[in-house]
Amino acid sequence: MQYNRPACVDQFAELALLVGLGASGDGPEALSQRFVDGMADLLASVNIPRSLKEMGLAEDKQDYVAVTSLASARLVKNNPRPLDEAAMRHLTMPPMQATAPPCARSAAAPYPPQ
Amino acid sequence: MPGALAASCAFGVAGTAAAHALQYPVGDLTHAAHGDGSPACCPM
Repeated sequence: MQYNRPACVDQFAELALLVGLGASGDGPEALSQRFVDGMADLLASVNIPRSLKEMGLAEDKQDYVAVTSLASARLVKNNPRPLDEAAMRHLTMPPMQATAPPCARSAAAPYPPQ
Repeated sequence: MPGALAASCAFGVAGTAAAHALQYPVGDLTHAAHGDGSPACCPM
């Protein structure tokens, strides 16, 4: 969601309003980020793992996951924002996969890297 | 349960994307359930 947010600003902003995460005067950029953060908090509240490491993925398998996930061509093609190998590596490797909460590390690790 | 049905109807139309693509190899390696792994990948 954090990766896709730039391609889904209006949709995420609308969803933020629907789930009561802000008011329409807050602006679509802020609302869309609030929706991503709100979903991360919701999932954490029901004990969904917050990183690949928490799911039990070894660090030396992050590259394998990045490359292999591209084989799901239909899902990759359906993603709102284009996904290539570099983008998948960004999602599966540090700093995106550090131990901080999803929102904090996503904000610290924007894609494309700056 | 109605919420789960509504969600399923939604992605039955829209399809799924990056989070689910990521979960397949992760689930293969960790044996995590798809229902745990996919939402784990969602915020990313």
